[in-house]
Amino acid sequence: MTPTRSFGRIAATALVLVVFILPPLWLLASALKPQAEIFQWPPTLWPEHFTFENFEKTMSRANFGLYFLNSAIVSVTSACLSVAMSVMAGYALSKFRFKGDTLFFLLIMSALMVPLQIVLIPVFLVLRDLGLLNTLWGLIIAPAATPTGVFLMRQYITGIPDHLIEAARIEGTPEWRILLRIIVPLALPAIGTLLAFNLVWRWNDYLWPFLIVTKQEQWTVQLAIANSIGRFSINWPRLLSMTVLSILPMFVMFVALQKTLMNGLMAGATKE
Amino acid sequence: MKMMKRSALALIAAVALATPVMASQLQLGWYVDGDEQEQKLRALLDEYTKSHPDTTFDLQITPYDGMSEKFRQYAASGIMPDVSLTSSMEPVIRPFLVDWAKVNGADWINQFVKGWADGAKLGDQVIAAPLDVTAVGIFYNADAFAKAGIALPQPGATWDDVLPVLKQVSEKAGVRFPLVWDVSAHRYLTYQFQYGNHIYSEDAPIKVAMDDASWVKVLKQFVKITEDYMPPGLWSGSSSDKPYDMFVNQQAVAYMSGSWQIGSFNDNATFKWQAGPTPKGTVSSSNVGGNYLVAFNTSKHLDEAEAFVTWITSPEIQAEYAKMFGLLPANKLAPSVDYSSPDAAAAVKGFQADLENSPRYAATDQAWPEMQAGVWDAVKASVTQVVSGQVTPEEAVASVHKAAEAAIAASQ
Amino acid sequence: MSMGDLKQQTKPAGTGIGDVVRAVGRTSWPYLLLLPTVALLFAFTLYPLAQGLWMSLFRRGLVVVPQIPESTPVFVGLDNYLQLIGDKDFTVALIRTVVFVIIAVPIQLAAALGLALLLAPQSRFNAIIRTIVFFPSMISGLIIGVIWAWLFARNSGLVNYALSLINIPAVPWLEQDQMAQIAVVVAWVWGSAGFNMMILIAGLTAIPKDLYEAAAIDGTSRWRTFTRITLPLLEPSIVVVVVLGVIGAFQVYEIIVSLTTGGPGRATVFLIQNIYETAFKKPNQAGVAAAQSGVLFVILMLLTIVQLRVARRRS
Repeated sequence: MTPTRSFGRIAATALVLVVFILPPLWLLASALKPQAEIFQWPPTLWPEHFTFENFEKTMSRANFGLYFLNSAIVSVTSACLSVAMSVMAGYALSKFRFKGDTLFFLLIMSALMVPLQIVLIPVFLVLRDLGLLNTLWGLIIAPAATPTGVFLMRQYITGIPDHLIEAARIEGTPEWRILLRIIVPLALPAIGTLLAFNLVWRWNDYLWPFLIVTKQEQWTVQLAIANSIGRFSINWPRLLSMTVLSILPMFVMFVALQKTLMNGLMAGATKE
Repeated sequence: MKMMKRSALALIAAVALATPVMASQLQLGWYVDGDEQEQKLRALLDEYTKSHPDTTFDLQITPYDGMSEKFRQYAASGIMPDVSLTSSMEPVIRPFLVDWAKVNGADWINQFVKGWADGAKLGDQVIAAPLDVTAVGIFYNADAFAKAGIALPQPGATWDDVLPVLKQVSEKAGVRFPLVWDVSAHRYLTYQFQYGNHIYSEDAPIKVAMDDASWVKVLKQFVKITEDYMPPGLWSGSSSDKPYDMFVNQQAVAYMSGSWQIGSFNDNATFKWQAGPTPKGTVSSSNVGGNYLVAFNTSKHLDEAEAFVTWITSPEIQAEYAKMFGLLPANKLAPSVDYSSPDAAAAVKGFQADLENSPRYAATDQAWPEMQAGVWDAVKASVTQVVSGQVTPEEAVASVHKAAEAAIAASQ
Repeated sequence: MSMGDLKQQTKPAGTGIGDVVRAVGRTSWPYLLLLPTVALLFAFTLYPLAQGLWMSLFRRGLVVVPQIPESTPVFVGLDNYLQLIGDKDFTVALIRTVVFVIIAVPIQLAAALGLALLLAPQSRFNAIIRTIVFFPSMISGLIIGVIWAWLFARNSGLVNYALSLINIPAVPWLEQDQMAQIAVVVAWVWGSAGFNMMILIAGLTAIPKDLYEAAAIDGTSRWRTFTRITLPLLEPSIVVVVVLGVIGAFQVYEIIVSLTTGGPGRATVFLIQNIYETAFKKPNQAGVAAAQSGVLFVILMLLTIVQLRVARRRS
């Protein structure tokens, strides 16, 4: 679709911007206010007493950089693992007819259909038995299989014309090559999107760190944020400033990812 | 023979030298209210290690809301720390708790504030060590009273006396609301206590001791108070108004909360505040709360764990602990705490007196383990549902009664 | 990336690893591809899930401790399921959730579609707007609820404050029964719009440009282009949005906890909250909670199968 600079389009975009920018703006602005001002009345959107003290306090807290590092390691590794597995599984489910294909698909989807919270104990015991407690590997592997990712890739790869694959098979191309050289490049928009999703999902994971990690050295950012919520009060300055800092890398990553993969697509591949 | 003896000695010496003297690292499960608390806690632990070099600590901080899940995990997996902070001892974890009566004698528990100490008893056993106590009570914005030219309430004043005064102060001093109240079953229950109502019998065997008619009358009174004096919708159950922040931001003349706020008011309030006197109903009552320390009998360092807990609950350390965290010591024998400000010191004294003067059932209701089995939620829901018009007060009280009975049945 | 390149890179038949794989047969290839996913899912999700559903056949608490004889599960067969029929809390929560799904998912789709069509064209500006729209997915449900609660707080919220400046009295956005339901829909759609928008944009970029060019040359109207080209080719992505939307809407919980805590009173207690309360707050009812989860599971499985069938038939 060629972008048209119609008035309607600009107006609509402006409306979207207003509706969606207010909350992040509030978050950022509140993180820049001193504690007393955050919930004062009348409320202020932009800080009256602009201050960086919340951020300073948060960043000077011992181990702060470590939490970020842990989160980064876990998110990137798990996301890559996850996307690879989703592409493979999605490809299998969309382009092959084999015994049990529907069953496997429904099995994978069924993982989304029951609230995990009431089976936390069995999950914990599995983690213990596999020796994954108190390890970063536990945080990487346990959530790596994502039914949503599989579903997404399955749907997207369905749209890749069969004849491309058939032709390659007739040529004698090995299966793994077909996957790597035909499917993956054509599925790049979905892969990029899924990579972004996974990075965000793993970065925001709270369940797995809660179950797996007890040592503060292995805390992720989410655990640190959750511990801003005390028994009787919420440490808003810490919660807000840490959330803002937590979002920044995701924000940057997201914008960058869109440009690179969209450009990659525009550069060449057309489907015929 | 001599040769063998010498070799044997040499062997023993070699083994003794090769085996390092292991320092015990105690794993502590703990929840904190903020960074400063954690730093202070670590400082306290360091102090212990200085005088007991064999004991070091691995502090495992968990959010308060996650503690009950953690306890379930401990019970199911057998993997647990050595010591943990907790506010209640759930049934699943009880078999794993060290009996302090065995460790420190049956009289040891009697040095602690009675209401809270009773909650640590399970039959003949003492399954937890009281660490600190909290008391429910009211805070006043003294500056607002001064600005309005009205005197602060006196001890012995009733709600009927105090509420209109709060309204006057709010109008004269230009404060938005007369009263804010923590939206919690624990704080609401205090109001019922003040009219002689309580949920369970004071003595064993446990029975539901609710006079439904009286409960309904008091509930109606409370709902009227929320309508006339509190921010609209505060007790609707979905209000996002934050009583603490409203009081600190001087949007409320009075705040019904508890002693744990003393520390943070000291730090954050930019106005003169006063703790209590809390208005009374037909009787004067507060409500007790606090924390316990439990030690787990699966610990590999049981002696060190027991020694640590005994240390931190001893009178001198209790005074230090209370001062550090702005809490009331659980140990009655603790020397007078030297709080940093006279306001705080007066507040603490007032709250401690309130606890002493509360009727017996204020303590026993809390102490019954059955309270943990869904009764708190029923109490809170009874108020929020009446305020939002979903049930009648009679139905609400009946559902609390039912939940209380169900809890007893479930524990049989 | 053309067919010519591939030709040159392929080795002649009879040499290399490719032959081994081909020899094993194309039949085992899909299984191999699925293996990592299924293995991990089984260990960390499906096996515990099965244990959870198994719990529904017993009267028991969440934890079974050998030292506490009372915690031993008691087999009750389908009793827990049968009891659900008369369970008012459960049926009310279920109906409320179903109504929510019926209302919120179509709105969700429309919003995501609109956003996708608006923001799909490539430009740096659009990339930033897309990121802002995606923002709710970057934060925890707690913060989303906090933000909306702050906006709509009756006495301290920004919206009511703005209204008060033009002399409109405070509106109980969150504290009145029907309004709270609307607030939940709004917060949920807002919270997941970005995620679904990205899925649809990925689908939109897969549609070949020349189709649109051909339609433009033919003089096809915008609406016709949309319904005859865009929508049908976008269908696989739309199926994702709808299926995931239904599954997600049935399990809405986190956002409600921080927005209304299930209030006012109990007006926004949905299915998942009821399940958690049954499992965690009531003594010895983990089996009942598991039965409720079992009912949810069956509903979702049936709905998913139906939706996928319908989708397959249309394509």
